[in-house]
Amino acid sequence: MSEEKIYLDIKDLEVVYSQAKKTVRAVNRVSLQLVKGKTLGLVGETGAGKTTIAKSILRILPNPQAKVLGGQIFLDGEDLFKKSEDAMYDVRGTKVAMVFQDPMTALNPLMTVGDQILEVLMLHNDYNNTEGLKKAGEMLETVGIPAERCSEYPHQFSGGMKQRVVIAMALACNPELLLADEPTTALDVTIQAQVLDLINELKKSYNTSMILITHDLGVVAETCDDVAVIYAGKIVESGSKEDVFDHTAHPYTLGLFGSLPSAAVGEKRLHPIGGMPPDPTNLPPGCAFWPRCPYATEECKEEIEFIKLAPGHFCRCIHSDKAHKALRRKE
Amino acid sequence: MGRYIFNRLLWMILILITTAFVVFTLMYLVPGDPAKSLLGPDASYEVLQIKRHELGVDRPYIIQLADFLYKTFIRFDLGTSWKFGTPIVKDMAERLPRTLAIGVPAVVLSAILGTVLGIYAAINKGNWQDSTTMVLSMVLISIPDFWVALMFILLFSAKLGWLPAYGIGSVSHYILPIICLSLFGVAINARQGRSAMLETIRAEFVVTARAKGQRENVVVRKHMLPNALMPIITGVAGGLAMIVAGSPIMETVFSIPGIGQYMLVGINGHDAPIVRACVMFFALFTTIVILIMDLCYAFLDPRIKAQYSRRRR
Amino acid sequence: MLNAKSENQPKSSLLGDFLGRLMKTAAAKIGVVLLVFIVLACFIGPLLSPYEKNSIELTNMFARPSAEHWFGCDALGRDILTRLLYGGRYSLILGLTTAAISSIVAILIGCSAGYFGGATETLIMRFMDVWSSLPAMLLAIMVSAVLGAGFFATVFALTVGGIAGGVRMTRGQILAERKKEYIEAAESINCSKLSIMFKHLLPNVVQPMIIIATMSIGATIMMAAGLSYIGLGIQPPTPEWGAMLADGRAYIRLYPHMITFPGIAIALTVLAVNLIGDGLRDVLDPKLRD
Repeated sequence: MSEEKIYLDIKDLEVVYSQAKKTVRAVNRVSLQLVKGKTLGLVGETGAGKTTIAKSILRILPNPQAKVLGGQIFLDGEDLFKKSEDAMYDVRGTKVAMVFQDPMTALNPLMTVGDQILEVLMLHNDYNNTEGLKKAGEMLETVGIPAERCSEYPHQFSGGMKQRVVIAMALACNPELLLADEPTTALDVTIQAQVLDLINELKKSYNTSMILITHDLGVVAETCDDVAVIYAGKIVESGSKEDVFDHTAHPYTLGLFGSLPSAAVGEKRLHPIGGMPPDPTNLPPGCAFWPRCPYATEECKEEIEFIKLAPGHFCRCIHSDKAHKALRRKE
Repeated sequence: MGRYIFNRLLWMILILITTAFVVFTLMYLVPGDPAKSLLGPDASYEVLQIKRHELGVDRPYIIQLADFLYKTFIRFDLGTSWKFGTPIVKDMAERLPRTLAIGVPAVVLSAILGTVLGIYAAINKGNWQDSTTMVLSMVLISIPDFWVALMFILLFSAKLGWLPAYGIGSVSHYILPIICLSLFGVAINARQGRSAMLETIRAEFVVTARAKGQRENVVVRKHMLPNALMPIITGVAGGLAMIVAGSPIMETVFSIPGIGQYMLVGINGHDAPIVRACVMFFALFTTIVILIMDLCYAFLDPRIKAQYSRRRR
Repeated sequence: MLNAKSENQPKSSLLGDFLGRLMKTAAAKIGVVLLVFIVLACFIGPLLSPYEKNSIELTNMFARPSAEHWFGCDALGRDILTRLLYGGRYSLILGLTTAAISSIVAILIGCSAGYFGGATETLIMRFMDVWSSLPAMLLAIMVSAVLGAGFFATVFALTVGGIAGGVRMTRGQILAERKKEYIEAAESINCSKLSIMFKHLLPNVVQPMIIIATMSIGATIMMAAGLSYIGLGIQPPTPEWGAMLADGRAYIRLYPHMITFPGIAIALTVLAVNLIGDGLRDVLDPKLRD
């Protein structure tokens, strides 16, 4: 880990949303590291805080509802929170770019697709109009859309193509860091595969570092090098893909793997994780998972720190050994 | 696109014909004998009959209706006033400019002022600008505009003597009516503008634009405003229709001899031709406004434009 | 071992939640308080007043507001406050009745249109388009002209004005719901058409209708006052607020109290109703924001 360069370093990030007098603790002291050129999969349920983390990096959180209460984000050594808004304009879209979750709403319906790609190009480059449009067309070609379609409007594209446009827009300025927020959730399975392949290819050609936000473990398996599992705004397990998939430690992660439908003979029912996701305005004390955890004890109600299980593999659980034994017994 | 306009025009004509039918029937049903009200209860039967024949009211309903429709739509002849004997078109031509002189500035004022206030409130959501605008518009919506007119007359005319209370004659005569007529519209447009803007502010593509590194004021200008424009146009068009509806009362309060007041003259005097003509005018005005509004939509929103050009293929 | 139960789930009882949220807005609270006050004043107030609504006392002609006559007297020496309170009954009942009748008629027509579809629907909707091409006030004026002044005539006239919008909304709602899958599901288990209409479609229509109806009460009260002002609607000696404004118009310079108070009464009532309507809409369906 110390050999490779750490490109993104998030330390103790804390973000809250104020919503009609209630406070939603979206991100609770999250720490993450991303190595240059690698892909980190950020896994968690809806509402766990994943998108908030991504938006915090770009500092495009809705204001005034969202507030960063603490923490630091270092991008290539620079503290992003210390930058002025003007300086951030030179980060967004060019150093760091984001692919949004829902292609249906991510594009401005009144602007042509070409103009929207042109916008990001002109913001960070010195092209004139003709050059810019040409480059926009080239970007479309890269994602597999004929360049002539630059003058068409978003509603003239299907969902999968819209998502490709969004990807083209994000990669137009060769960002060093790509934040992909559930880029395939809104698409059907065959298109999903195409888009993932596309992202992987582009990532290789540009050597982009990437954070892939998803709740789909299959996607993680396909595309990610490292994994971080997030629950109720806290990272509960993080490590390389092999660590998390083969040596799963946290009961929540185990629950996620266990709930995957199995085509094995003899399987008659699904095994969801019992209980409901916690109310973000009223989180349980200590480990937020204890109400649903089959291994929980009284100590779980206290703050749990990261426990190092192996180099690079961390888990926020004091019962990971028990969980592991239970898993072994099953197999 | 041309086909679309043609369809709408056809539709407009249908609406006007139906309105003509409805208004004619309604006025036909008004109780009372026009001849009697003109000549007095003591006139003899023969004199009344002659008058009735003169006015054309002794014919059967269908004939009268057909005659009215023919005259209005083919000959554009709006008839003669029963009471005054003057050709109505002439009277309307005289009165129209006054109604428009109040209505149009009122609409423009309320559209611009209201929308700007609404957008301003949306951008400053949660702050005092927002609450003040919302409270103000709530109050303005709830106060009857003709009472505000009376209060303004009381203040600016009776007490302060700055502006004339009634009639026409100089520019200053129009100031109060325009202001009073526009108040309600300002409030509606402010609320409309605010909610349209809020929806746009929360839109995902706005976040996308920011993520690209676009500066905030450009985001507002290039991304938010065009998308917020359409609901705003609806609001403006709606305001226009409301002002049309409000003119009878406002013109009464300020004693302005416009078309609204003309209609009331007709109603009070059981003068059917006048009422019919006024209603037809209002209907025409409203349908034209709606047509223009729809065309604006089609022009602004490529999705709608596509719907109509696709028909060609 | 602690049991995996959901201890952190928010509890919700539908009605309690609804009322709670309604009253949370300061605006709705004010509206409700104001309306309750007005209703009490108008229905109980006159019983407490020492004056009759029509007792003419020429010695008190145009009396300014004083300790005996809090809002002064009108041209015939009648106590304005008492007349205002009586008049309020008309306005409130007018508003409510009109809203109720328009809603019911609109739902009936809209449901028939949306439900039967085909030629019936097209016919009805085209007719509604024509109907709504004329502003409500204009329609009301014309119908009033035919029917003359009077309480029921006014209710009828105002209802005519208000129906078109309601029908459009109802039919739109029905169309949207009809496409939804639970209707298909109901049909697939052989639910009768009528029972689908009543058990599934109707309840979904009623809710937005309530909002629209409440929001229209204010407009109705204002239109009623407007009608009375120009000589239609409800006329003297009935103390309708608009008619009282008309009475006072001629004396605006000398006796402004005659027009000040009726106007304030209208404004406060409409304000109260609008505040409640806004609160209702925010709670039930924020998407209906204009």
